[in-house]
Amino acid sequence: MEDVWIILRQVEPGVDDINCEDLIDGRILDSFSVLELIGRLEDYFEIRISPGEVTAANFNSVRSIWNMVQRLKQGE
Amino acid sequence: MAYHTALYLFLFLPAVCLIYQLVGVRFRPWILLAASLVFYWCISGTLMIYPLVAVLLIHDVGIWMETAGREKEEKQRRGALVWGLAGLLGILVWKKYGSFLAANGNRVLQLFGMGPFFSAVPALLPIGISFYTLQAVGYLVDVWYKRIPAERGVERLGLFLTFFPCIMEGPICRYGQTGLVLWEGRPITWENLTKGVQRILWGLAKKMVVADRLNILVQTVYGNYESYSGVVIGVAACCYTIQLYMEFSGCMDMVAGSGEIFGICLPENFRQPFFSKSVPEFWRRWHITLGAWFKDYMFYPVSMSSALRKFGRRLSGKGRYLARLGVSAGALFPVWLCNGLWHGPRWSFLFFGMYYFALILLSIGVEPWVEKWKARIPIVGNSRVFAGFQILRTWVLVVIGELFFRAEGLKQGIGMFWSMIKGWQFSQMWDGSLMKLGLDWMDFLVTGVMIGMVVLVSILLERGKDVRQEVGRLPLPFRWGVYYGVLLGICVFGAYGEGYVPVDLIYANF
Repeated sequence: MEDVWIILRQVEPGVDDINCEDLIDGRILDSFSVLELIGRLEDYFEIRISPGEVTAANFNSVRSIWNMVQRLKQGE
Repeated sequence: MAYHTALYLFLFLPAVCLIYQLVGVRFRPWILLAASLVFYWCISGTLMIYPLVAVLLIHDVGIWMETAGREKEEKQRRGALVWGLAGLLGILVWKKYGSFLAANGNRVLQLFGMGPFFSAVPALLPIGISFYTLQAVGYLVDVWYKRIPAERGVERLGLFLTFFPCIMEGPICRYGQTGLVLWEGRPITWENLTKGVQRILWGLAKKMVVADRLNILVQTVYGNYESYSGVVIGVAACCYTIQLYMEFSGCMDMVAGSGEIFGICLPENFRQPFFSKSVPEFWRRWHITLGAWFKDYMFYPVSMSSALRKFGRRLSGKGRYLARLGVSAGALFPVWLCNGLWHGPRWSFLFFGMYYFALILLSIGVEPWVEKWKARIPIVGNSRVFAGFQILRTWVLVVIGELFFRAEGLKQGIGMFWSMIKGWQFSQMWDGSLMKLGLDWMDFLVTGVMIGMVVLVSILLERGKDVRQEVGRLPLPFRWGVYYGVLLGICVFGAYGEGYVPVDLIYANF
């Protein structure tokens, strides 16, 4: 999960709480930041994220992003 | 039977509420479905066949996709989705854009000395076709991505697509959020009833006191635009922007209030858009459900497509800034093209979409420099004066966009814009020109007071206060004073009766 946190901070340095749970709902990440985050997650974890995964539930917190990454890694 | 008419407010809605509450819980959703079909029939008659076809289509295609998915036949799933989307969008294009395409096709042919070959007679539009089609497409895509399971009950999808408060002007709902709640048959409680009625009254006041009154001035100028110039056109464009906001947000208040009575919380479409400091922020606060729909079902799929990913990777070698700008341009172009055209088959709507595409791209392009400048001079960058300047700049850009949006065609839009710039004379503000546009000083006063009230409520909402809760906490005489005040305001100052032409809901035509 630490890796996701580091990547998130690279995309959006303004995020300072690892336990933040409203990255999307609280409009902390805009759609362009989400796209950049997806690109970096795909490169780092060697996964493919489909547009269907881009939901607030998957991107609202570091934990939910980590869970999605784990799920996609297991699926591949 | 629009939401602001006496027929809806005093007969249809109370009758539906009464029957809904009298029958048993499991029959309540059926009452809503029957009421929705009656509502649709009253407005569009036999054109009701179109939403019904859409319901059957998404029902069958959804189940088809899910069954195929179970058997791991990806190609079959994709085929089902393509057929479903082609059916829905094909009907929309045929009904809404058929005559536009035919007329422009004939023009192109005439350039080569041929034609006209196509009949360009506009088709009768089923009410709300642009809204329910987007909901239906959203449902199919959600099932495709396995965000939601396919719905087996055709009646549930029927209520989702035709729910009477949403069918004319939205909001554009998602099945995963609203579809299931609609079928719960929640009881009408005293709290929900009063809250719903309060919201309907507030929406009615916005429409009847401000929007319908300003319509007179807007109609006068736009209907005879060659006779006006300068400040008068600027004022008409400002008034149209206010009219559109008051009308559309007022209608959304009536829609949300109608839903609230039945315990159904519909998504909000506005979040104080005129407090936005930039154009992208404005679009996150204005017609929110349309913007969110385009973001989820077009922007992300396009920007995550393999073609744009490759393009982005190629650009990333030249830096993060260029990659972001390039991918944004590639993804935003189709979004804003469709957003413009979604409003209707007109070149001025296309221009409207491209206008915002250019502004948003420009805003992304200059963002790093603005941030650098703000960091270098934080006293100015973070000051209230600068924030005020940003808000004012957004207003000007939005009003220019609405000037073209309201124009009957691109030619009129360009003509009005040019004549506004060329003939600008500040003296028109006080030489009596504005008093010859169909409204007298009393109209301006009433409009101004109501706009002031809306601004006050918006400021409170912006500060995170729940205005209805605050009013509810007032001592009884003051509380009821507010309720009766709004009601009396509509009765006395509402633009209806002799001397006023009834004004249709603007977005219902989209």
